[in-house]
Amino acid sequence: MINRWSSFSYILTFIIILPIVLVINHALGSETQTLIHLKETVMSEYVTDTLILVLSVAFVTLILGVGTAYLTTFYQFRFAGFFVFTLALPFAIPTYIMGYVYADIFGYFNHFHLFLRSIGIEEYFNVLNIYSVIIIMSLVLYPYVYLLVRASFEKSKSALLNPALSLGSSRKKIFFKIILPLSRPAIVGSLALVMMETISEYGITEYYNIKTFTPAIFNTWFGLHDSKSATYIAVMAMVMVLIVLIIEKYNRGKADYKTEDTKAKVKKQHLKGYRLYLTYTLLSMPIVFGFIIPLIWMGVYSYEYAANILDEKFLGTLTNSFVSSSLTAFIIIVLAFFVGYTSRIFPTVMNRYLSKIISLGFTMPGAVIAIGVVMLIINIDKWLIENYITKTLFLGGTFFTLLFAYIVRFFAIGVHTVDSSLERISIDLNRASRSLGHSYFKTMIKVELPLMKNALLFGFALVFISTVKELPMTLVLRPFNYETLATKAYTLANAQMLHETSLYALGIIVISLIPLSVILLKRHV
Amino acid sequence: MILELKQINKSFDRPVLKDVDLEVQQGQIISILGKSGSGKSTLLNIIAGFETANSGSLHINEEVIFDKKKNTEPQDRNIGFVFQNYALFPHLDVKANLLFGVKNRKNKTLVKKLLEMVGLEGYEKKYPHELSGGEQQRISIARVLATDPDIILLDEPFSSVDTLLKAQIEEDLLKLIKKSRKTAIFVTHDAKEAMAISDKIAFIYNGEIIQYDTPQNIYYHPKSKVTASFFGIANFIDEQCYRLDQIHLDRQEGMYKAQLEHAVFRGEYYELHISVTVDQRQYPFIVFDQNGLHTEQEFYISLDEK
Repeated sequence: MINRWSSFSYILTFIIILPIVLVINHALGSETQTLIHLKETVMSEYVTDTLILVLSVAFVTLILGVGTAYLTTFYQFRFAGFFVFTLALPFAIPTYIMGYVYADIFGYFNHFHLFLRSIGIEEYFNVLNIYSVIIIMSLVLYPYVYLLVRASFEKSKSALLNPALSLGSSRKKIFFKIILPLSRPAIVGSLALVMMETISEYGITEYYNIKTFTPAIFNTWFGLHDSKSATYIAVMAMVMVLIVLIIEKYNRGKADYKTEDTKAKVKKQHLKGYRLYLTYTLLSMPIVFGFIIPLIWMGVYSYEYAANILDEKFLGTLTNSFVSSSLTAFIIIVLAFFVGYTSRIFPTVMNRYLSKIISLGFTMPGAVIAIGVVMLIINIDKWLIENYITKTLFLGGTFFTLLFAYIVRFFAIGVHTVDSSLERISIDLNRASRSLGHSYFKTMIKVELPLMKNALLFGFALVFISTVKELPMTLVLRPFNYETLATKAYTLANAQMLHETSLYALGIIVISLIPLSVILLKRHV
Repeated sequence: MILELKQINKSFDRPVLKDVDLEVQQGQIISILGKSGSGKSTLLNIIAGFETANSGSLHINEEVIFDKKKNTEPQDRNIGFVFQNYALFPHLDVKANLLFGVKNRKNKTLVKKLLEMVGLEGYEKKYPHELSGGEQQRISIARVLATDPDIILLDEPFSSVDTLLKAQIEEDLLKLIKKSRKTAIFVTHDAKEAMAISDKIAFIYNGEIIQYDTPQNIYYHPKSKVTASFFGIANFIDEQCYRLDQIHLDRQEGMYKAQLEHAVFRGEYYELHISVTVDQRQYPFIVFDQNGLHTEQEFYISLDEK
């Protein structure tokens, strides 16, 4: 039985995955001369650089994320609460901004080398290489692992630590034999996110001249004007992401990783002496390098350049970022709420798969979606002109195109928060409302909506932050002369005006803090 | 007839309900009784409209609610549903919960009347989490009564109630429903509970209603051994079922000779496992004894026919 609710979900899903389908369809054609040339020359370099980067970043974030999660979950020391909070902060800084900060600090005429020369060392350390990118990306991305794994540690610890201790196991054995294996889904899941972000990253790889898929797609598309080869590389990037996702899925196997929710009080171990100072040092490092140094850098140069930059143009850019991100977040949350509610009231097999299909955009690098959206929009415009409905481009180069791409890319975040919150509301409440005489729609407004208010705000904030930071799609799809904080920082950095980017970077962090504080204030989502 | 089900079938991966027929008269209290997985909750959900049957038809007040062509939405069936976990809206206070389904909000005395009826005067401003389990249940019934439904469905309403309080809550609930003169259908897995509250019991087994009768008839004249043993200790001589109160023990005389196999001490009584000889054939019986017969090897039993 297909009803109005389900039809709406189907149509929406179709529209949202259309760009991705177009990319695949376009790539599966005959090979162009450029593609043959690319395959003979740089293609292997794209693959190796991407693989090295993805695997190394995954490895470093694994160590950083699991390590910090372990120390903050199992040990008791002063300022532990402070570390729990601040360890998540590097997340707020976009990768490319972090890249610009360290490129500047380690520049030949700058801070680090000035200091070296002042103590008589004349050697020059060039940081524009893949190793720096690995470290910088890990610093930005480890909070994914830290947050998800820590939540999992907390849960399995309170459920199983006391029973295991009573069976006579040592704490070390419990950690390696019980807690760590139980957290495998959280570890692999968060690493999958890290790897997807790494494949998708554009700003830093381009600036540091690392030949991964995303810059390759852009170079082929805009440098060589070969959209077919660009989509071919895009599909390769997709395949790599799919491999990551398949590994994540099959890693779970048959074992059940769920533990009971308990409120058991579990004693943490107190740290003393050198182990305490070692812990402080280890926990401080990612915070200092991932947040404090970049923030100081931004503060110092913002102060220096504020007089030059802080004008109406800057405020316009800030407004653009704010408006586009709020609009994206609002539309996504409303639509995701509809889709989630539909599969709740009509739990057909098709509707359950819908939320998976509609989330595909998040697994695709921004560059891939950008190509798909451009292809879709060109086709629509062509059709409109051929049928004499419009004379000029109707959609191409408009804000609408960019907004649509944001929605395709970040819809998954909305779906995920909506679904996990709906799961926690008993279906009986919905049924009770309907047996008391209210329609599906009225029930949604009177029951589910008020109960999900906090979760929806949380989802809104997550989409908002992701959109503010977004770079590659915005670069390709923005209307003429339309700047966001991200694109402006990118343009300035590529014009070798690194210090001028500071204020825009600070802008990104400040407007991300608005929804972030909403999340933190409403912790009980 | 207020409710009539004809040939209802439903399957998920396997058949859950098979050709279910059920007729309920205005004002009756009916129990759908069966063990878990027998299909009883599915049947209740189909009556409420939360689930859709694969075939069959459903009538309320002689009007088609569901058949091949028609499927009235739950909100238009005028059926009240009391959920196992009460399903009170956690974000609304008691007053708002009670008025949730009421169309005419102008009736200012309604909330007061309802709260009086369930014995919870002055609870208007409380939130569901501030109420005990029993109070939540009474509010959830008041919420249903507020909309004046034709039929009230109750899904295992006593399953989450403390055993000590159960009898009292059972009695209160029954009084409430009787007072409101509503037709009510309970779903339960507890035969004692079903017998205590119902005018008629529909015993459901593997998706089929295998007997639909008054508690007395179903207890003393079960149509199958499955039904018989579900309702308590049942002793058989061929196809004839004898309940404990139909069996009398005596040292000296009786209809049949009985031999003691073993005895179990149960506090108020001894449970005796005996072997009864009828026409030179042996039948295993379980009987209760309060007269010290557990020390005897042989005695006599007599049987009442009801």
